[in-house]
Order: sequence, then C-alpha cells, then structure tokens
Amino acid sequence: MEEHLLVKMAKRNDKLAMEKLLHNNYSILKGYLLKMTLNQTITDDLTQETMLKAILNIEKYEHKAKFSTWLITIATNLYRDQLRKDKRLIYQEEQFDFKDTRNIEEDLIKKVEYENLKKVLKELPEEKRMIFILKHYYDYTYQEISEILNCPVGTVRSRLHYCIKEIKKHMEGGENGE
Amino acid sequence: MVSKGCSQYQEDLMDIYYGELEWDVKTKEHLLNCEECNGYWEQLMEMKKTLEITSEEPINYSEIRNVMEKAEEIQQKNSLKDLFIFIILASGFLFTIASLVFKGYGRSILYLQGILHLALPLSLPFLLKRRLLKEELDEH
Ligand SMILES: [Zn+2]
Repeated sequence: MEEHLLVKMAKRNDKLAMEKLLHNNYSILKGYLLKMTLNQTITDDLTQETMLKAILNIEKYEHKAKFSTWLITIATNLYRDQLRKDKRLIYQEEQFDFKDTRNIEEDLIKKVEYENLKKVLKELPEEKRMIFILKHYYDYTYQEISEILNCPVGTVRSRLHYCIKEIKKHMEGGENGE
Repeated sequence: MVSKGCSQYQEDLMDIYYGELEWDVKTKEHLLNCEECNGYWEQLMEMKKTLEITSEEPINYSEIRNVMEKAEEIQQKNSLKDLFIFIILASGFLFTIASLVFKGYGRSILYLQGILHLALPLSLPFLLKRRLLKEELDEH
C-alpha cells in the first residue's frame, strides 16, 4: 500500500497501518543510527525511542517529506539531546557484535563492514558526520539535509567537504595527531 | 573573472560526485590537466568502495510490536489523566454554581443564562462574515 495512504490511516488511529509504516522504514532508521552512533547499544535504544515518539506524534507529521525522512529527523534530534546530556557517549568504545541475522557469515560481513566504517568515521565530529552519512548513504540533497539538521545549505556543503578531506587523509594512511 | 583554484574545483567535483552539480567543460578540462584534482576525483571513487555497507538491518518485528504496545499504554494513561482532570474541573464548576444558588444568587444565574442563550445566536452572522472575509484574504 502506498505510504500516504498508510499515513492517513495511521493518523486516524489505525494501529495496523502504523505498524506497517514502521516495518517499512525500520531498516533505514536502524542503519542510519548504526552508522551515526557507531554503537549498537545506543542504536537499539534510539531506534525504540524514535519509533515511540513517531507513534505518539503521528498527527504532527506533515506529509511533505518521506516518512523515513521524518524518522531520521526525530532520531537525529534524540541523538543530539543525548550528546548534550552526556558528552562521554562520544568516546564510548564498543566492539560490534551482530547476532540479529540467522546467518553467521552475514553477521561477520556486517561486523567487518561496520568496524571498517568506524575506523574511518569515528574521528569526525558528530554534527559533521551526520551530514556525510545523510549524503553518502541516503543521497539527500543539500537542501533536504539542511532541513533535517536545521542548518544553512552553505554549512552543509562546507562540512561535507571537510569530512571528505578528513576521510581522504585517513585513506592515505595519515591519521594526524596520533 | 579570477580563475578558479584547485580547492574550488575540488568542491565542485564533490558536488558533481554527489549529483548537486552538472559537469561543465572547464571542470572537465581542469581534471584532465591537473594531477592533484585528478587524484581527488579518483579518491572519491575509491571512498565509495572503502565505506561500502552491503548489509541491511533485518526487521525486528517483536521490537516494533513492543514499542506499539508501550505507545498504547502511554496513550491510555494520558486519556485517563484527561478524564480525571475533566471530572475535577466539572465537579468544581458544579460546586461553585451550587454554592452560589445556596447563597441566593439562583435568580441572577438564571437571568444571565437566558441572556447568553439569546445573545449567542445573534452573534453568529458576525462570526460567519469574519470567517468568509478571512478565507477571501487567504486566497489572495
Ligand atoms: Zn586542480
């Protein structure tokens, strides 16, 4: 069923429609949070918190952007709140240990991919990392990213450029300052 | 016009790579002639491979179910709270009326109510007119 119909039904308190919306967008939300936080525990907590907030506030959702974009916006704001409350979160180290698929090989590939990603992205400050992830993995336009993160388009572009320079440095093997 | 420097070209290359900008002749030409910018472009391509994530997050149906149930609990609690507040306010209002009647204001309250009931419908045409005016303004 098309998204806008599901949203309409969910707004009329149709529980099944709401659940379907969450099913359809779960992977995107969780993948975003995993790349963003680089931490499984925080990802699990924030995924649940985001879904809860979405259910309770569905009538406030204006169908201007996709439902997944709305979820990503909520998740980003929740993560920002958490960072503000607890700065230590940023440095919380944790090995990835995926056990959510039934296939051991798949879990291993996932682990390698995410450990690799962590090596490259963990040095980027959160606010800049968000921009990079939204662009690189989700292909949002500068304009959309500026709306999700509530910052000017020019900032989005210059921060993205900063991220790429940092990643480039890392890829060349020059982890400066270490 | 001042000619563009490499760092500006690299920003443009980033825009092109991410589909925010179209190729133009000048950038293409620069890319062919500048080793540094050429290296930058190649690194953009390489970055895609380095940071590739092929795995997808499996949908956790029971987790979604749990969140749905939690939301329902919260909603029920909230509606109970609303009902409770309504009962308190309503009984407070009734108590005030009752005590006013008890103190001998019963007749004035009845008159006041009569006036209100007559006056409210009279104000309807004005309200409607205002609304129509507003809608007309919104259209323009
Ligand atoms: Zn150049």
